[in-house]
Amino acid sequence: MLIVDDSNIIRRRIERSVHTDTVSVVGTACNGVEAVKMFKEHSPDLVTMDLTMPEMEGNEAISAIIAIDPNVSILVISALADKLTAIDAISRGASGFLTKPFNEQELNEAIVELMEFRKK
Amino acid sequence: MNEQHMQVFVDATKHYFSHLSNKPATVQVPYLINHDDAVLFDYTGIIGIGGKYRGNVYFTAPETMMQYVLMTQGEQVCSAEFCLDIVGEVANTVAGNARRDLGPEFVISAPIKFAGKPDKMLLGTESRSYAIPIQWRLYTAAIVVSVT
Repeated sequence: MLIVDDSNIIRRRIERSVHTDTVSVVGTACNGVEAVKMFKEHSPDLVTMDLTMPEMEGNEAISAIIAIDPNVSILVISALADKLTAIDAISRGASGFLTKPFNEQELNEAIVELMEFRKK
Repeated sequence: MNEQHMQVFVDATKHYFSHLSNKPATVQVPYLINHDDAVLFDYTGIIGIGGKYRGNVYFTAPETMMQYVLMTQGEQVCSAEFCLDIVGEVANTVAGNARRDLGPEFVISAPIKFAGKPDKMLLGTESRSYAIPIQWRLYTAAIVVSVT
């Protein structure tokens, strides 16, 4: 999986918190531009994506990544808690939405759910 | 900003700290502050507000509190750089969660973070500013809302 967030603390926290056997972290990115670049390099099955970031925001990065690989699973992890933001992310191709603040259990459940859905 | 709007930020702040640990934050009564009286602790994360609203929201906290927040999240590094990062993340989360009630027209920027006191005053001159004191464990911090 690829972790995208402008906060180093959040990137490190997600990396520490993922405890599923089926997922390993291939890289991290701090904005949308870096995310698209790293996605092209590593082709991960799963991306966790923040939305509010400098340079290129998450929703733009979602569209760019989906254009490269429509089958990738993108879990948005954002503080933006309104429904329209979630709907917009999903309509761009995101597979799930987790609102900050999140805990370890919520993160792992969301990742397992996406990976299970991916198998079907 | 009316009383209901202020409650949105109070609720978002309480939600953040209750999610962080089993010790909820106590939020004291918000009070009006003058443009020249910015409330500032060691680290501050400021979020610019656009869309239907204008102004900014900032979270400011002492270093010891930010170090404790980092440790609560399993972080073993409590450097100044990480304190700056987490203070911005708290501000971003509180402002972002406020959109649940204020809607997508409450547009927020990525956080700007700094230590100490800035060269320019943070508060908007066109809006009234409210400080919301926050007590969490042994620490006192504040959310300042300066939005019109």
